[in-house]
Amino acid sequence: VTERDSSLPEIPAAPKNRTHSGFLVFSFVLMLLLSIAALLPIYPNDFFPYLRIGDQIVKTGAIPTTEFMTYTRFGQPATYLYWFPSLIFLGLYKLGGATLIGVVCALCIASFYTFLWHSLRELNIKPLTCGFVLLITAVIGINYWAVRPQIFTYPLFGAALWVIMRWQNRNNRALWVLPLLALLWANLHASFIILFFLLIPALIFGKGDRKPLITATIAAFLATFINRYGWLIWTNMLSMVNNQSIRQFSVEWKPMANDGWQANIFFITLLLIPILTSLLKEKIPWLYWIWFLGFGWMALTAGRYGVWFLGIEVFLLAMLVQPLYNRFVKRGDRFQNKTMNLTLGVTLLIIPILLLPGIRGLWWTQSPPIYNDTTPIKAAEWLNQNPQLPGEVWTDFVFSTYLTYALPERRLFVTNRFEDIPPEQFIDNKHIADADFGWETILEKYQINLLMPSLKMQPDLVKAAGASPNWKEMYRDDQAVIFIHLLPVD
Amino acid sequence: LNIIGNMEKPEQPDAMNRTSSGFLLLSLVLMIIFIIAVLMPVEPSDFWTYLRIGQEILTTHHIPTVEFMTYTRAGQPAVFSYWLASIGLLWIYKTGGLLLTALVTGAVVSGMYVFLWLCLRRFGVRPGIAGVLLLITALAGSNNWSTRPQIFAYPLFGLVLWILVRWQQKDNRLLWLLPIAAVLWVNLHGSFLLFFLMLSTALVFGAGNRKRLGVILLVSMAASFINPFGLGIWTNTWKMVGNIAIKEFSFEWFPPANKGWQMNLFFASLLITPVLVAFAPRKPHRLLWVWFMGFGWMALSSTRYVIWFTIIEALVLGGMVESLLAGFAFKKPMFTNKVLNLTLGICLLCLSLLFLPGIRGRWWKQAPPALTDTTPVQAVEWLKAHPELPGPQWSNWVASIYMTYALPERKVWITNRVEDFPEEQLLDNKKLMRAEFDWQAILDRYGVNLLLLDQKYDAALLGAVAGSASWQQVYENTQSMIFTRTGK
Repeated sequence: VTERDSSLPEIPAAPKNRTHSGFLVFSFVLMLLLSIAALLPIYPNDFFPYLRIGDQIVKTGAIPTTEFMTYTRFGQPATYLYWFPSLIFLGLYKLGGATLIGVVCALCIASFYTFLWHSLRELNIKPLTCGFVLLITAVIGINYWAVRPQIFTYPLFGAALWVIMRWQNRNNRALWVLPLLALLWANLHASFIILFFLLIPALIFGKGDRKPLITATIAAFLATFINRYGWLIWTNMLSMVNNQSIRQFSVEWKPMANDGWQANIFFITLLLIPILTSLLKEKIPWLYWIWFLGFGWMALTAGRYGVWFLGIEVFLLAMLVQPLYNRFVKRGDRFQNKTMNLTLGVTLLIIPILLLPGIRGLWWTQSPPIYNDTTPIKAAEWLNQNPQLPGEVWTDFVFSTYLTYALPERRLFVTNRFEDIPPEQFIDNKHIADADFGWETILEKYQINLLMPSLKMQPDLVKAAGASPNWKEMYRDDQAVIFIHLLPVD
Repeated sequence: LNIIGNMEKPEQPDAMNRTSSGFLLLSLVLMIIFIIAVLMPVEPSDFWTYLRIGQEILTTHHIPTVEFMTYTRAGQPAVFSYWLASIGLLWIYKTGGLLLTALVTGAVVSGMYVFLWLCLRRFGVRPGIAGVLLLITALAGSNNWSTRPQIFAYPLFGLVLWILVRWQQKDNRLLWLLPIAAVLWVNLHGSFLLFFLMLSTALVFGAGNRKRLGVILLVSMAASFINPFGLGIWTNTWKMVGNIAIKEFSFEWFPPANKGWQMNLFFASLLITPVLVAFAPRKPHRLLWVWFMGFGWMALSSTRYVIWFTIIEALVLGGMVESLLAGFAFKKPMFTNKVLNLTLGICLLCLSLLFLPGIRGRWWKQAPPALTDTTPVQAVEWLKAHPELPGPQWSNWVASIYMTYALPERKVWITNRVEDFPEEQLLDNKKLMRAEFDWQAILDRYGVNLLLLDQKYDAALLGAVAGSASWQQVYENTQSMIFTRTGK
């Protein structure tokens, strides 16, 4: 059996173009995905610290070179690789608040899946199969749609795949885009190495014209040096990947486990792929298997890499499901009315707009909140109104990330920038959060006079501080409690 | 397509049989497996408690119906379904101590892999490939080899699989063994459910004589009632599988994560399988795929199921690897001298006996210890010599388990039977382990007057207790410390 992408049964292109039924299916899928994206609340963890960094860059006119958001690591050397997305987030937030942030993030997600759709179509996968596999992988990947710098790279990943798919089909016209993607990616997020994880296997196992791809890959590699840190961006990226604090304490860097319904679907697909493969008569080209092995291993090693793997898995699933679809579903174009398809498709795409934060509230009384319920808005306001309260503050981790931007006057114990904080401090953080033996001694060590635990995440600390004669409760709402030390530490 | 598991006449290369080179390769792999199994120190977690239960059964001549090892849950109804395994482990320990215990552990673990070897050979996998697969499979599952009731189920699992593979190939001669396996399994371990899972799926998706297997399945089902609990063994096992506390507090019930080389092998096999399927000329039979899905899902849901899946995975991979390597590796018979092969094979198997605890110490100065460093042997001996010290006592989970057998006079705080304890106590246990702010209040609530703490694993609580005026140290060795209340 020869290895070729077109080994899957050809579909007649003419009816598809005539009726725009593909557009209708695509619109339906996109409508579902964008609706979910629009309804997702903003999680503070990886959003507010970037607003603060952006703010700092604007205020000082330079990218910081030292830590400036905490009292524990203040003044220590720090690298801000994500300066560009920080500025973008800040600009968007200042310009259009959470609504504009929501719009841009939804657009990033939409373009990611649009590129995936077109990539699948390059493989001659039928619209309904495309829609089905995109929905499955998107549903698994919802957790990766949080507002954070990484989201800007999704369209870049999708575009790179699309360019490679075209190249596989002997169409080299879009290869010039690759260096541009590399340039953007290197300035947006440390995951830019992913581009090369796509390109190098394509060079070895792909079936397009290797010469232009080699040139494009070299140009892309060189383009990664065009950034604020030059070639050091590679070493910074590698040191971040190997950072002990990140590895030990960041949940998203931990290996995936079959916990929760999305993980359930993810692992079911892993078990199903070999079975579907055994039913397939045609051979899937090596390139997809190499990507599957590489990105699969990454995903199983650290949860955060799952998003890239899903982008690869979608090809395999499509190639495996397509023959089943041909076998069991009757052929024929179901949606034949072109005008109807176009109208319905466009209408479907409008629906997510109505669900955007700031808009949905206008017509939906009990619409989901804009910010995740871990965002301590009221407690931060209270703290803001009480600047006379002395000393350093310890807060829940997520609270800290929100306070970086909401209350820049007060420095914090930690931020989401794990790489800036030594592992010992995270251990101390855990001891405080769990109210382990000696928690007050640890607080004294850091000269902490204010405590802001989360009622949900640190119930024991709330109990411990409440029971301690050294702490007095000053504020409480349904999320947070604020305690003050009765004998402030000098 | 040449479908694995559906071959009426399995390929048995004559040259291999004539020369016994297969035996040599199997012996080599078994030697490695046996050595690893017996070098592992006895994990207290799932061992000592069963000795104590066995002891209780033999002393009272009946299976207990209430909890009897702890002061926290004494007298509460409890089901001791692993009664036969408990008696078995006790008999082995009393007869031959840790040496015989390790020998039996090594033997039953190896037994399972022998059956896997036989299955692979039935599929026509050549000894070289079968040996490599066996070794990788064994290494991936080696996390689950600790001495515990479950290990008695391993050879039964292998046996059932082998019989089903033969049945799949239209050989029904050994089917009669299945009901016997069912009776044994049901009295040894709760994993007997797997027996019925395999048989019922084989009945639906298999290629053998369904009528016969159907009859055998019914007989086996009836045989499963031959146990002290009758039908209750089924409901009790289901309850245990669905127990929330077990799932929340017992690590081995957590879903596996790709951490450590054994888990690396397990997850890598998941990724490699479809690639092999894509390119192998021979594809596995649908029955194997059904098992792959079922056992795969179990393994991905709970670490304790990984070992069963690795065996199924080896069967799925076996024929495919064989067909892929048909033209490349192991083409010529490697070891052609039958006498030498047999002699060498037996020598290798005998050699592995030198690694048993009690024997290895005679020729290996720095041999690994027979017990883990979490087993507080000396401290418990000291406590035994001081019965006047007032209880109740608290010690960590592992030490408590050891004490159930080593110091039965003192009731312990908790045992490995997670299902016997309320969630609140399990939470309190966690809090004590990390010395949460109200550790003293928790100890007061349970009336604890004596503490046996591990210097390494209870460091947090040790720090708290050492700095408290309410406790005074009465014993210390390099591993443990014992404290009593001062009355302050």
